[in-house]
Amino acid sequence: MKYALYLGCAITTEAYSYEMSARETLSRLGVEFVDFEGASCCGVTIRSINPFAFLYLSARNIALGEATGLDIMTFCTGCRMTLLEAKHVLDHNEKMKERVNAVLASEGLEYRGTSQVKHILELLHDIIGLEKIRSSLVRTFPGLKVVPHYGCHAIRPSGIGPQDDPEDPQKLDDLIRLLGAEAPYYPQKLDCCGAPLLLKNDNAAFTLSGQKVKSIQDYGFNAIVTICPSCQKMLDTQDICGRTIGATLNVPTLYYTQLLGLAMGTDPDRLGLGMNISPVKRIIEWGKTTAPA
Amino acid sequence: MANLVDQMSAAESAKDVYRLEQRMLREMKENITDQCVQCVKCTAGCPAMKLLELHPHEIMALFNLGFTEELLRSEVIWTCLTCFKCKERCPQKVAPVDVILLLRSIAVARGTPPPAGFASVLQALMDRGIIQEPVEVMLKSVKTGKKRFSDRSGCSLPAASRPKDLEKFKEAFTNALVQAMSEEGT
Ligand code: SF4
Ligand code: SF4
Repeated sequence: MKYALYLGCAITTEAYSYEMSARETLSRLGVEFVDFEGASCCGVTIRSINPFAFLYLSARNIALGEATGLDIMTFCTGCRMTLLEAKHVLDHNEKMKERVNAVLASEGLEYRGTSQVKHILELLHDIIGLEKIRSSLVRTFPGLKVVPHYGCHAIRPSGIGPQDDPEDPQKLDDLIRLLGAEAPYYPQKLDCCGAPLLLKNDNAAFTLSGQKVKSIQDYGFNAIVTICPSCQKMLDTQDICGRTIGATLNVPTLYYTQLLGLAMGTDPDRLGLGMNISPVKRIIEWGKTTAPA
Repeated sequence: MANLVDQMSAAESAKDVYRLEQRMLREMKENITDQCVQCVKCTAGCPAMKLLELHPHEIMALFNLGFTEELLRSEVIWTCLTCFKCKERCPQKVAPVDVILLLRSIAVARGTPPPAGFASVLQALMDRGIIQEPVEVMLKSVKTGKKRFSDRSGCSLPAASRPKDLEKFKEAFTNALVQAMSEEGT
């Protein structure tokens, strides 16, 4: 299993713990990555203000990935949606492809449409598969109630590529249960993290993330797992979103790959767990420090 | 920042942009929004409804009634989170989010500056191709509790991938920006 790795902006410049934990766990599962040079932003943030420039940016990154001859892997859900949407347009609209390629040519690039674009959720659940992951585990989390936060752009819009059910996603739930934890249903499961509003109204953005974390805390669940650097940032920075909604929040929030790494017995420092802001220590030590009665 | 937005809107003569806009709006109306039956399912699930009074079904009604100018000037089109729930759930296969995004791009093409956050992102992409320079993060060891600031290499990660020839990238990106509203549209 070998992929061209497209990381996008948030992971490349900030969300190092996601990259560390993903590289660490996926290499143990036999996945190899080619880190290609020259990448830029996927265009997600300018999608609504300049549709053609968004297509150009996405096509540019796909073209760079295609040049490796491999399929392209993303970890960020925003990059996933953006690249898949652009691919969908370009593979179905020859004229648009020509126009984009005319712009790409000045950098010596060409979009051909020869590589698939995939996201880590699909990689873990469908490509590597639950059985193979199970055989890599040395530890489980009995009794730990972990709620999945999928992120809107991991599952919607439908029709642009393989994905989970847009209204009732289950793949991350499956991956949580695989680690011996519980994945309880909660009514706020599909609620947005608020990140796209940061560009317009950060108070509203953090109100949305704060409300989501608050409901999870009120249900008494132990942790939140994410599969996107933007969602993680919104839900993990509970000092900020807690202040915004006037609540004290402390629900451990971590990337799925960090929880998976712990289940594989990986050193928490190699998973970047010291970078999380929410109290993940409880999860690292789960089941290890049963106090004598 | 104004210069980037200006550049985008100056791409075509005002008349051409106007003609193109009208065509895009008409197509959107004919192909999609006419089917809206005002069932309000979109608004019922919209995450920006309670907080920011975004009511996608109202946007559809106003759009169909021809209140395009009012919508283009309204702040509310900038409150959509692009969660795509309305697109997924609409029983008529109408997508309020697509209308909202089209309205945004037309507003910007006319020279209306987008909210400050969008403008600064656009400028950052123009300057370096990615949203920001890789930052140093506080790395606290879980084992020892020791804290240190660390960049990518301190986290044992390879150097950031970014445009190799920034001048060439800027030229192509500018080219893409000014083409946004040209003949074929998107
Ligand atoms: S869900 Fe569809 S048909 Fe119903 S009000 Fe919204 S756009 Fe109109
Ligand atoms: S895509 Fe926008 S309008 Fe549609 S439900 Fe989500 S936030 Fe509301």
